[in-house]
Amino acid sequence: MVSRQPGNGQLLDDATNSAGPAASHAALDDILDLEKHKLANVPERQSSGTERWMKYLGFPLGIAVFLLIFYMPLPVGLTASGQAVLACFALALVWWVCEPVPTYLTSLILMIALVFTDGWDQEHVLGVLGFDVIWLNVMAFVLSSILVKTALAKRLALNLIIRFGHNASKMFLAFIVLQLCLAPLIPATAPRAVMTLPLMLVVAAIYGSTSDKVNGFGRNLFLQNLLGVNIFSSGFMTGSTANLIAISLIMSLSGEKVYYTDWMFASLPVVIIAMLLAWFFGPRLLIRLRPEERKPVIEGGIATLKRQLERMGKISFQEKKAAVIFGLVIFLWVTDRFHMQWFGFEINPVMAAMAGAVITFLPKIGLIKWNEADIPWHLMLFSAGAYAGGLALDNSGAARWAIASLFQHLHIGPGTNFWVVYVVIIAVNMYAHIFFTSKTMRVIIMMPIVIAVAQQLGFPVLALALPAAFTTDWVITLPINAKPNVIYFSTGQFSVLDNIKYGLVISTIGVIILTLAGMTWFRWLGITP
Amino acid sequence: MKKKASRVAALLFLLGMGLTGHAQELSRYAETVTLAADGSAAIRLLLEFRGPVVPRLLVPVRHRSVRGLQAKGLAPGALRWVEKGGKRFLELDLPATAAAAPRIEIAFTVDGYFKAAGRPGPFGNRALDYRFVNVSFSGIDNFSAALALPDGHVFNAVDRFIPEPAKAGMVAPFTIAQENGRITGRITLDGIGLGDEVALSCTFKKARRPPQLLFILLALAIAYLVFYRDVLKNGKNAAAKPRP
Repeated sequence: MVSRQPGNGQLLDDATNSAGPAASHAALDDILDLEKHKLANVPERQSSGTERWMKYLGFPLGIAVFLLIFYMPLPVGLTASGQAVLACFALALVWWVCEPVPTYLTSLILMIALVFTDGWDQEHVLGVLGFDVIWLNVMAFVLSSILVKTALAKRLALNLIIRFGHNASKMFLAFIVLQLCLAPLIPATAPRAVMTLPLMLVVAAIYGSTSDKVNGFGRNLFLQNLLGVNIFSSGFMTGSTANLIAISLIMSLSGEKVYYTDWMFASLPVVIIAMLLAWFFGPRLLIRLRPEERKPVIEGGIATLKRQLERMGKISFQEKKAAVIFGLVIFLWVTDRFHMQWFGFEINPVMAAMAGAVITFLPKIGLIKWNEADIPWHLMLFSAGAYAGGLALDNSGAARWAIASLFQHLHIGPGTNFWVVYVVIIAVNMYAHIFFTSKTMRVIIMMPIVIAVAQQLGFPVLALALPAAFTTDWVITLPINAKPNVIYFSTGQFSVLDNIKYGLVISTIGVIILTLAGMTWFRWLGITP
Repeated sequence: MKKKASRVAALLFLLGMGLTGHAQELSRYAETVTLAADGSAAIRLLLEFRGPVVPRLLVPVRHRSVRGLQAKGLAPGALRWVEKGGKRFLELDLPATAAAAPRIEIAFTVDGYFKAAGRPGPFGNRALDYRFVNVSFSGIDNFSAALALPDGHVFNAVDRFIPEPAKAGMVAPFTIAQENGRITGRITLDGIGLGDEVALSCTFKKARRPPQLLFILLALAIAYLVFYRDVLKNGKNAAAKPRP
């Protein structure tokens, strides 16, 4: 939850009222100077009353949860290390939500706790910092820095706002459409998040939301994009690697064939409806926008922004260079399926981003020096801890045990109505994402269980497994659930609690839509009986 | 040239005859290892056959200190220890037909199955290894091995399992359950080929966790509630970052 504070708009109005258009431009420059709001700096802010209580009680609550799990009699089927990992992860989860200590510190504590409780060995825990997700984050922020430094992000954002951003609602919709268009083109979610991040930062600033003075616009913008970048992946079979793994598991374990269009016709309408509901209800019910947050906080509104764009003049050489470097990386991301044919090997998104970063730093040719790259290292530690926890859950067998135990306790057996089983499977698959840091891991654990349940109960495998696979990319509740979440979270534009609020509501809407679709649309498509 | 070819053909025929004559299968191989706190293990083997039975069967036993050998379903003197190539085997003289020997049970005790003497490893863990290589004579339809831990002990972690799951989504066929009041790890596999290996490396430890951590963390929680009361007053706790 973000504290309500006077936004930049009010400050700006005070300044511009007395000093006229010149002051207005100066103040606008100040707003758009993102170097003053570096992501690498961790801002201190005041908390609301609820947040303060959560901080105060969160610390002992986390410890209580840890002790409860750690010292309870070992459940049958679980190893002692699995139990320790569960306890550590539960503690971290409570602390990430309540934030009695900073999120990155919780991650470090989690890493220490995993080692000290014999949950996972030190070598593996420390090795997580070398994972591709961490490298991708570092490179992503280097690339983002060149767009900010050369003002290309500012130019693009101003264009975007002048065309679509006359009010907050249209701006949100513009980004939703942008994410929908990118989803089938770039199969990895993190690159999509990286591409849109600089634009979002500038747009949020124009609407008065910066990392040290966040408002409702920034919170909604970043959370809606978090939803969009993840959920839209679910609209396409190639939207993420996890989707392809889910399909390959369905095909290999059940022998059923699923085509690209089968997936798209079934899932795309579901995700579009869900996103439209999030777009409509998010700023109205979940994180309400105040009237002053619905417009750019620039005196003179769009006209001032137009003047600002004109004042920027023609696109500079440096901006062109940034566009070429970023364009090259995007080109490599978009064309990954042709790499084998062209180069004899595939350039994965991390290497593509790294190639871009190398050019960026090249003396004389590049655009920035190391000190100018805005890399939030606290985020890398946060990510490393989160991934260590998630991987330890998988490695120790605790995640598999938890999911299998859950299904056992649901007492699903012969004679259970299909729709009861359907709803349970969709709900379990949907909400399970909260406890995972990897979609792939979740799919590998969940999908064989879903297929086994379908086969044991005599239901068509596709009727349960395919809708369950559609939930794969709904990883929207916590910053640790997916790479784009971590990237967006690093901007400080929303809190863990904001994320939970949006994520849980939209996940529940997702379960409802998928259930309704199962009874109507999927039935018409021949997926459900 | 023609003479050579006919010799090769004759050899292949004889080999083929030999192989046909040994086309038996172990329909079931079940091993139960019940560990005791002193490091010894009571081992029970259950063998069931399918098809005509070979006259002799070798069961590899990698432990040296073995006592109390017993057998059911075999003639007296039909069971002995032999050494081949520096490795130790139980050699069984089997009855002529499968019908005569549908089920054989062998029991013995191994001393020093795991290292019980001395201090345990880090976090109180003790290492436990299980290994089986099928050197019988043919495939095994159904293989199972159960490792029952000493009373009051639990599995800590499974470090290595062979065969590894062939593809994503498959689970290593190792389950943990409570059997006869003991925590038991069970490996179940179908279709073990000749020469195939089944191996498990794991650690186990006492079920009771040391209480020190409980007291330390409780003290920490209370200390936090006392020393960080200012979090409630001004919302700006130096130790806590309110937002990411």
